[in-house]
Amino acid sequence: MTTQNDSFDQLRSILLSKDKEEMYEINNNLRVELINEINSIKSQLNDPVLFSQKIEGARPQIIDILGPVMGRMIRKYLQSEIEKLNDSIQQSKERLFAKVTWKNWFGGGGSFDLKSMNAPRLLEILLINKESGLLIGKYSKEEISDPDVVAGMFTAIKSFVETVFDQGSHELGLIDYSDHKILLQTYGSYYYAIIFSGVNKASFKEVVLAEVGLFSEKHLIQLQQGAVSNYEISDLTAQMENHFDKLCKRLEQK
Amino acid sequence: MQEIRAKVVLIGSIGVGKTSVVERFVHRKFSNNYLSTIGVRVDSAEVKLADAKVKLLIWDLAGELYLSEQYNQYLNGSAGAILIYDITRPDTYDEIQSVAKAISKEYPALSLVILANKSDLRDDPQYRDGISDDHKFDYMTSAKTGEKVEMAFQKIAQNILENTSHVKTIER
Repeated sequence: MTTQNDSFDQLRSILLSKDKEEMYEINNNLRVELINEINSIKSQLNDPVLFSQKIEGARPQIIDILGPVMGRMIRKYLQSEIEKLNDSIQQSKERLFAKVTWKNWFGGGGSFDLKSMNAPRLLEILLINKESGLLIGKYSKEEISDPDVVAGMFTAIKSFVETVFDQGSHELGLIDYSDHKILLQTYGSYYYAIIFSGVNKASFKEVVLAEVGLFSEKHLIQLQQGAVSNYEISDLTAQMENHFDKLCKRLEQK
Repeated sequence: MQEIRAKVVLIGSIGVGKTSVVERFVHRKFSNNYLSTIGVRVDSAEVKLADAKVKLLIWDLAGELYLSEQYNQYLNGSAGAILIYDITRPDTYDEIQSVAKAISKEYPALSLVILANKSDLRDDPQYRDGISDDHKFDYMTSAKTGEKVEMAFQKIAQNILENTSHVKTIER
């Protein structure tokens, strides 16, 4: 058995000796080519001018390959940064509106609530004849200078806006100036100008307008008389002061 | 003493001196810019009469809005109107005459006072020949010198007091 195997080996060695030589030569050549190619690449990489020329030549392909990946990466990056920004804004808002307590407020241990500083605060309600702009009555938490003139100007502004932007039955509803807002609630022959500071909260508006409606219902006959003919303003002003002072106290307690 | 309050409008063409007349009579509260933006500026003035005090809410209407829809809106609810023309410009007299006719028809209860303004120019040789003697007016006023301006406002206050259907009574 051993003798038969040895004979096969001898035969194979004789038959494939030439192939082996050729294969060895090919391998050798390939190695030389590969080494040359690597050396060439090495030299290109070490030479910035050559390298940039190579990159420039392959620019479209690079963009084709990297573009979508980069786009996805950029989008992901932006998304992540926006989320971080949102979180930061949210945290700032929470910090700003959280109850700030200054234990050593000038040594007095006082505190204040920033949230309440932004809350709507009723300042004045003027009840005005829609046509003439004459004041029918007023409630003043903080007296404004010459409410008669202010009532006239509100009526002029209201009339101006409604004529310029003629929208049929539409009425001017709000004048917004800095921290002050003037809510206008119009009825048939008169309207209320409700002056307040702070943010225009829907809940505040709802409560105030409900009270204004209640007052109008309660004094309907007097209001109609006041709007169309002679009227003793002091009577209605006293009633407005009484009615809306209660509302003001209620709002302050909230 | 009776106290009343009423809306009075000032009417006249551009440059007849409406705003100057008001400024002569009232303490200005709002800027003249309102005249160019919304076409009106409201001021107040108190007129003391023999047996009453009248608070006038004076609506100075911009001449640019003359007879526009906005102008008519501003006239609503007025108890009186002061119509002003410039004695050196006869066309401004013709204009207020047509306005006076229209107002009398539309608002018959309105008290009207016509002022011939710029009386300080009546002896100026430059204008003397152009000033007509046929014009009918209540007072010849001068916003520059103040001549008869107060008298004109007292007249309209008196007229309104006599016709109080458009005013509000104040009892403080």
